[in-house]
Amino acid sequence: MSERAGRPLVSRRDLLIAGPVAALAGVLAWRAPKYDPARFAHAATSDVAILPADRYDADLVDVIGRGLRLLKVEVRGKKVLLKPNLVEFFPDRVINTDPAVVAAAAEAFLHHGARSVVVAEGPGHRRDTEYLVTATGLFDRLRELRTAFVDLNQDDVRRARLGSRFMGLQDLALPVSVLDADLVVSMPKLKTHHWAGMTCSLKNLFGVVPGAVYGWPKNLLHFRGIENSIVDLAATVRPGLAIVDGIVGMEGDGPIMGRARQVGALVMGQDLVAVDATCARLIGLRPERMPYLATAGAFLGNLEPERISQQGEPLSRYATTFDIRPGLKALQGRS
Amino acid sequence: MDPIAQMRDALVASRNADGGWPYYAGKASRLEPTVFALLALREEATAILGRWPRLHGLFVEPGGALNYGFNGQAAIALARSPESAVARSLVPGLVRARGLAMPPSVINRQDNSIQGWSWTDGTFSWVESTAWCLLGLKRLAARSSDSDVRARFEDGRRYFVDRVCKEGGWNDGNSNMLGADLPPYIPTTALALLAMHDHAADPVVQTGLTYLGERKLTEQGGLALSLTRICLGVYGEAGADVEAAILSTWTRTSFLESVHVTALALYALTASGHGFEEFRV
Repeated sequence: MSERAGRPLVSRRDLLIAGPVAALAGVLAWRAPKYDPARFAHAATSDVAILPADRYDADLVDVIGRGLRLLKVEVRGKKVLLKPNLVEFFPDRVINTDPAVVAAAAEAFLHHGARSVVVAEGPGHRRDTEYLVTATGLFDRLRELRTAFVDLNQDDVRRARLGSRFMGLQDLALPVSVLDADLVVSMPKLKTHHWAGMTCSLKNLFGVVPGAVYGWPKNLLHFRGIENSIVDLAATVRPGLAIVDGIVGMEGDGPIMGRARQVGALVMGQDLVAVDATCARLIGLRPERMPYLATAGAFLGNLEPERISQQGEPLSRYATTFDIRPGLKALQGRS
Repeated sequence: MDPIAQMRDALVASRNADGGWPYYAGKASRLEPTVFALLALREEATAILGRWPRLHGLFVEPGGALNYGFNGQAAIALARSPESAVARSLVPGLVRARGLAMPPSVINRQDNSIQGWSWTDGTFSWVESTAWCLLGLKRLAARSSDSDVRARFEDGRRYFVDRVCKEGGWNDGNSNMLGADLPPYIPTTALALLAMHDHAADPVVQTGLTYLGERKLTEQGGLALSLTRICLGVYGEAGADVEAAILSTWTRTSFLESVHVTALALYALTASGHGFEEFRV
């Protein structure tokens, strides 16, 4: 809290003592390693599946089921939490993960033996989650499937030690539904992002940060650096799978004000860095030029094309170039 | 069963043994649902909030997190007993709390030197947190002659004048970004109008009221509709259509079982009899 009015909470003497101590702590924190590499050991290559799906009324349960088999995802007996991207609702814009994809994923996981499936999101813009869930059509789809929705903004929370420390924090309060799930599935919409370049399965994790602790929007994440926050959240939550809604993506001034752009595919993988790198290449961006992806690629997963084993359709079949904000053109290109 | 009785029953049934309310039945007690439930059931707030964990007079959530917006809500509930120790100790904390002042912005047209209220320490001011804190502070200290209190009232007024959207009403904070005008939202507009009720003649209030009147049924969610009903009630506008929408939303979704939305809806549907007095400044 600022102390621009009223009595200061600390004395001048306190400050004289605390100042050098804080400075020393800051230097030590800056020099300390940001993560423990041993905790993030991963395979030399990662499978990423690109699966054709050109319409939302296609048999998406079958498509996602095929992806689960192709990637050998172990689902049986697990408590699965599906985390779509539910940000904002304008009837003429494609902002959110389409409810058809979310519902299809819920069905596919149950068919593959999941013990339970819940859909969970903590929107960062709209305070009225019920409005978003109903206006987008997600409520009706989940009711048909008798699948529960958890508002992560208002779930019970537990302090979780961060898996990496790029934000300069030791821990965050996170929803127990996320911390206690056996398998967290990040289900973003494939979109450009006017600060980060692209928002996909890693950036989607902003939605697990509870608004009832950190507010609307979750401004702490902006102050600590969007890139730093993305990496720390990914290193902490460690989702086991990503399913990207690339049937219709968003280009231009994403993640909210952009335009619809047909791509015609779902992208799936267990290494979220590899999934996001593949999605970046799909839309004409160089993943190694996006700071959060470059950082994540250093320890969380595989970024380089030679370390990604493409399953399903070849990337070249869907490769395109999304329009992007003028200030981010340097991210464009092929790698 | 009568929907209002259903809401009341749901609220009573979801109360925890510690006297507070959770966001969802069976979960831990939290400040926001507890405050809304106390308002809806017209219960005295000092007993429960007097036992709530505090830091420098401000209420904290389980685990010690401090959220200024929810402290503004608590002030509204405590305004029935403004001379209680717990209410009096809240005022200095709300006065001291403020969002960060920032350098002039290159990404949007706004005055970043104005300090409203942030949700949490070390972050920017936002419309909702500013509205709850300004409203709560006015409810507890409207007649205060303390210059620091008066200065915060003026900070809040300047914040809402600066951040009003082009078409009237308020977004979460910024009214524009990267050259594009951002749209107002219903809940934030209703809250800002409630906090600015003592400036009813101000043009930003008038355009906000026009916006809310025209769009009052466009966000069909319990929270947006309930805040709209309360706001229209405080400004003396009719709200039968909004009440009907709240009831129909309850029938359809049960507000996704959310305790705090159920509580706010119950208040919105039952408080017209006493003029929504808890939200008047």
